Amino acid sequence: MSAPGPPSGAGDAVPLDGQVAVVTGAGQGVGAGIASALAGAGAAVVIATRRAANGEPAAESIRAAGREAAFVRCDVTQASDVEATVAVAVERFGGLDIMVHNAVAHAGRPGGVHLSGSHRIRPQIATGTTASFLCARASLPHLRRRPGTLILLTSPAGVEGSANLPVYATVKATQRGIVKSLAREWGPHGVRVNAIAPVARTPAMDAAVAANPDLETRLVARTPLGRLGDAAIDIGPVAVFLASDGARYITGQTIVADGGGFLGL
Amino acid sequence: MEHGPGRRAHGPSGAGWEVSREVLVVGGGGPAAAIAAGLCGNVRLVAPDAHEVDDGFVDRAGPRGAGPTDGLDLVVHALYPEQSRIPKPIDEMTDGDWAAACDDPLEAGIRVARGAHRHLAARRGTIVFCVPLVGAAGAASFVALSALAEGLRVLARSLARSWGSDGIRAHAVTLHPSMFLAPEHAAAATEATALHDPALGRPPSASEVAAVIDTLAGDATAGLTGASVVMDGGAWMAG
Repeated sequence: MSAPGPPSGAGDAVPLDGQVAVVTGAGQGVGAGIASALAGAGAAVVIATRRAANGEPAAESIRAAGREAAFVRCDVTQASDVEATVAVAVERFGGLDIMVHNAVAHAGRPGGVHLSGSHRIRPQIATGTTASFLCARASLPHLRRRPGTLILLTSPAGVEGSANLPVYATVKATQRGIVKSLAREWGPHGVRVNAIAPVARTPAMDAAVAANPDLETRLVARTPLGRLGDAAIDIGPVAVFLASDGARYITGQTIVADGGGFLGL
Repeated sequence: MEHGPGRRAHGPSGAGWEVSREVLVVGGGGPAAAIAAGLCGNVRLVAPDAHEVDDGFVDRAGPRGAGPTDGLDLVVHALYPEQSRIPKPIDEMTDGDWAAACDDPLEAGIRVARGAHRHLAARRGTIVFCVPLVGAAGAASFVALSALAEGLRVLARSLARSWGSDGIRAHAVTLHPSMFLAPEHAAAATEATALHDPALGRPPSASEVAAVIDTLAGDATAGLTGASVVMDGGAWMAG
């Protein structure tokens, strides 16, 4: 089943007009979908990725649509890179309203935690947990001025666990802990902190499906809406909403955008 | 740091465990020692620095001469470095603060689990993670501890899913924050978590926690795995 088109009138709405966003891991997949949606809603977007090979085209596609975007090479595990990325947003576009941390490390071959590659543990922690801290710390001075919002990308696995991706699930759970505590810590500043737990087609999922053709069938079978999400039109608008004034009283929450597959919250 | 084994032959509700029941408690900086003192069996408590925990840590810390046929009946994890138990706003944390408070002990928890697998599989044992409630409920100025706690709480669920076929059960016991923190920080954590007063008028004692862990590891709960048991005296009541 193909994904439906955008809601009627959505293309005309610019709820984030004049705002500035940074999206990590926005060269492809969910990050690119979120960046595209934020730009479509009026925000100037900084595409922060390690590789120019996908980061620059992602920024160019936004500019080609008549919106503002810039690419910044950024390794989210390095504090200096994250701080430099925020600085580019502030210097080039005048501030920072929306910080989205989406980048994720490769989890390696599926399997129990005792079977997974020892060398893949710390990179996953660094890209998920440490980078969430770095993105939060670097963005806070600017988010307080607007006040703005921080959005972390987690996963249903970060709630229910995962038999085959246990380190990934652990890292995604840490991000939910960060969201809840930062929401309490930053609420007095007016800065909101939320998470999105998506399930969507991404290059990583496409690769997993190619290696295991039954995977997509099983995922769709557990999804009441009967299809996998589309990063741009199913997940991106969730980020737009969380960044918008319509979500001004929402903080500390995880929005599960997975077609109804996980109903455990 | 290592403490000598405790030996208690009796279990809750007349479980009648033999003293050969092998228990490893990995923990420090919280209620680990007090919980270990209340557990039944041949209990060995080790309190390593997070950096000392590698994939071979359990082999070295478990029963002397432990191998696949010796194994462990119960592993309890409650390793929380001092840096994770001191309140600090995130914008005041250095990279080193965060690593010491969250990333290093998180990796240590994962490596304890990796190393424990074969020992638990040999005896169809149980692993229990003791976590502070700040992770599930959120607490200002305890962001790193919250991340660590939620990560370990969900790690238990992942282990339950992947190790069930090996006969291993995995649980998390979520405890009132005051059990992990120095008295001068405990009140701040309770306030930061916006917790109600415990319905029972007090948090649980370590011996009460030990009794629940013994029950989770016993035959009476053989059909239970992946549980997240909240023991906070009835303060949170949200899941």
